[in-house]
Amino acid sequence: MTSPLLHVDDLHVTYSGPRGDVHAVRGVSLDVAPGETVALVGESGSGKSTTAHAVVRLLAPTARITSGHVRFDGTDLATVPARRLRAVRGYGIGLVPQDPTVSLNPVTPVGKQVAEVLRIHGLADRRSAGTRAEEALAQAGLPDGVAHLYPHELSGGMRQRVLIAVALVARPALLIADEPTSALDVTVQRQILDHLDTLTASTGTGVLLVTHDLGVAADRADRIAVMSQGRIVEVGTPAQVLGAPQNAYTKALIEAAPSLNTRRSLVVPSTEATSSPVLEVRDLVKEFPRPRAAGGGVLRAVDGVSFALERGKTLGIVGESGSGKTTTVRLAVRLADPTSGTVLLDGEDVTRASGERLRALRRRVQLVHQNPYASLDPRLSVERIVTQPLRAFGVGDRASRRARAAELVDHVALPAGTLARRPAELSGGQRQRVAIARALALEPELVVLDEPVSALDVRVQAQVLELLARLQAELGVSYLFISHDLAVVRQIAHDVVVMQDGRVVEKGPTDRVLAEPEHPYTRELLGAIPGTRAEAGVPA
Amino acid sequence: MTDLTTLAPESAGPATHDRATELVDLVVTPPDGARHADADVAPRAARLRYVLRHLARRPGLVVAVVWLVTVLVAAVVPSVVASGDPLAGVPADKLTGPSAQHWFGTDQLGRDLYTRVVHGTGTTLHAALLAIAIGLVVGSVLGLLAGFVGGAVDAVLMRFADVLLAIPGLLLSLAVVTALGFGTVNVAIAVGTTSVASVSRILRSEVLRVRTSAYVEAARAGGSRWWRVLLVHVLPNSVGPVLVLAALELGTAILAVSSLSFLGYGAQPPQPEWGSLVAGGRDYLAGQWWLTTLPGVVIALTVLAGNRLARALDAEGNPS
Repeated sequence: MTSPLLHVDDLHVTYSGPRGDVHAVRGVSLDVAPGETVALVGESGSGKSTTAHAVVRLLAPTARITSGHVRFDGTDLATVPARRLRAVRGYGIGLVPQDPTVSLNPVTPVGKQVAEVLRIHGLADRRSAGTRAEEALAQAGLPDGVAHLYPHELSGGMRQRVLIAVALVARPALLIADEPTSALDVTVQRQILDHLDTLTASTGTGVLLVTHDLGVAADRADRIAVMSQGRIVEVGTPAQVLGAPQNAYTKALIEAAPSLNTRRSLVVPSTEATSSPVLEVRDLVKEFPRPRAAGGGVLRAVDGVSFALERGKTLGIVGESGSGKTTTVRLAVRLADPTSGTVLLDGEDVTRASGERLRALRRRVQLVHQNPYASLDPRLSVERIVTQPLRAFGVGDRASRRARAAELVDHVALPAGTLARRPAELSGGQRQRVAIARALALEPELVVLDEPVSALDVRVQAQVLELLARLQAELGVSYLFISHDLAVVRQIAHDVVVMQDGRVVEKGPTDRVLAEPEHPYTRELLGAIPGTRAEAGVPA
Repeated sequence: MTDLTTLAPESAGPATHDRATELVDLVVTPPDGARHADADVAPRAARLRYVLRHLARRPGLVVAVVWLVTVLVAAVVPSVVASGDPLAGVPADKLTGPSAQHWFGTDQLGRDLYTRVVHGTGTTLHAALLAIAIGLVVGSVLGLLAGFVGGAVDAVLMRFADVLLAIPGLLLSLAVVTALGFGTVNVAIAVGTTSVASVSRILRSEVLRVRTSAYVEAARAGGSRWWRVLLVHVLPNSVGPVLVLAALELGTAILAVSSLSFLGYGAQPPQPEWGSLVAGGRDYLAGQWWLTTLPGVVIALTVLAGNRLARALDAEGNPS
């Protein structure tokens, strides 16, 4: 091997806080060779982002590098003075930040933001910087004329391309990409990563790719480094790491990743061959008035959606952001009113139910939100949160509600001590279990799950999915399961509905739809699941 | 206390000084940060120690609290703080300066000024607290309605608040108290009116934020009736800033009540009241400075102490 481009040696980073010091990175050593892509994989809190940011010393004010070296181009970036470091940032090392929605200056045209890099490093004068910025934007796959637009005029995917152009315009030798596509839809993710591949391959740029998604790492990297609790626990080629993992943590991570385990299924076998639908929607339409500034008129968020969910089964609704899937379920559970169409619960028309009839419906249909950090009242104890629906319907007395809370918490596999805690004291996975317990309190026939696992780490994700499957087997509850992730839906749903632009483009049994997709969009979604490239080469 | 603070976690060897690390852990763990599994059984002593250490770093807050407690005691049982009769004058001792016998000196009728200030506390504080209660309750109801119901109700209530905000506070109070007639309670109502607009504005903006949060929707989807959602979820989660404002308003209210009494709208002589005490000394300003200055200083200190407490509450509500 030639001498590495970046050589990280025994790096330690510590965050100091009011509760004492947190040792976030504990002796990480890592090499990136020219033209090589190294993926740093781990769950939230594993120290992967801190490691990446420590390379260019863009750490939070409370963090400091306590020991170790970061050798790049003959200098130790861990100790070099700030002035010399600035010359490296952007010129020697480009950084693609995590969240494209907040990483651009909202009051400057994007072309200027790309050109800024060249101007700072004195690589171009005002005029040539502009033209080179336009070239860089074109190379990042953006259409002509984008340079004059402001960030808010671009979609998330386009903004991420702008950030890639910013990172690559000065032709750095090393690119650090911190979760570059985590905030984007899968199809956009694939386009961006493909593009990043081509660009870096043509210029021989080394890439340090930080990701929580083993599938992405497997597809894109030459080598994978798995991080856990501030340490690198395993390094190797994707085939080595995924095919023959040595470390127990790596094994658990691979086991939990839905995209890498296509054969694993949690689908509960249904007892009855055919049963009446518990929920049916027909020709649902929802229109939102557009603001007058945007030309007026209406936006059709949901356009003639029909589907039926059989009792005791799971129906998955899949689509990317803006496909209308969340609006559809809000209509189905009557949190919003449809412009036209019908909602049938157990054969009864509840489309226009209000007052006490609506409350009776609430008792039978419960909802679990996407973000467990926002869906629990921060001031209430877990016991009060879980018994809230019981109190709303005046079920039982104080003592029986207390007993029911203990039972529910036990159902979702949380320790009894959780009851007295507040949401802030719980982890994301624990909070989502509390939200599920709350939804089950009234023994509803139908639970609507709006992206219930997308805010969680893969291992927690797998645990929550297993919990949902177990509860369905035990209680016979039906699920309406919304997700952007086909890999997750494949594991849990009996039937699937694929939505695009407010319409249903394909529906049917999950096995059939995923094995023989008819609609091109479904095929595109399937192809974009990360990890599919690697899967072929990995013995299961 | 200090020897524990200087013990940084890493300086105490984890294996060698088990007891020391344990102590540091107890002190380092704040009562709300129960990330550790055993946090809910954290001994009460550790919590107390944490609170004491918290206060030791803020001497100004301690002084403010001590002062407010004294003021409260003076308001409830004035005879404990000053045993004399506030109305009994000894003409021979009139207009004497501060001394060991008369801490604040005496007035033109020979009444002990310190006793009068202490016995006037109740009237002033009563009026100020009543004023805040009125502003808080009326303002909260309006703000809650405007934020939660929205639409036309919101528009009408907020334009009403705009009108109230457009009139200078003292002028509004004067207008109200003139209409209602003189007396402590009427002064309280007049002062309370001026804070209705700002309280309702702040509560409305908080309610708008909380109303759209996922847990409120979760409660609605769970079948809670609207008033339950309002009382259990929206109000407790939005009332924080308003309570801080109320503590801040305590100072303003004391000043406003004193101002109205100074102008002669409040307590009638010979009943002592802070504002009227300051007013009473006006005629002797050239020769007997203590008659206006010392009651004025008491008002100023109480206002400052109230503001310091409000600031502490604010910081507690929004940990950075």
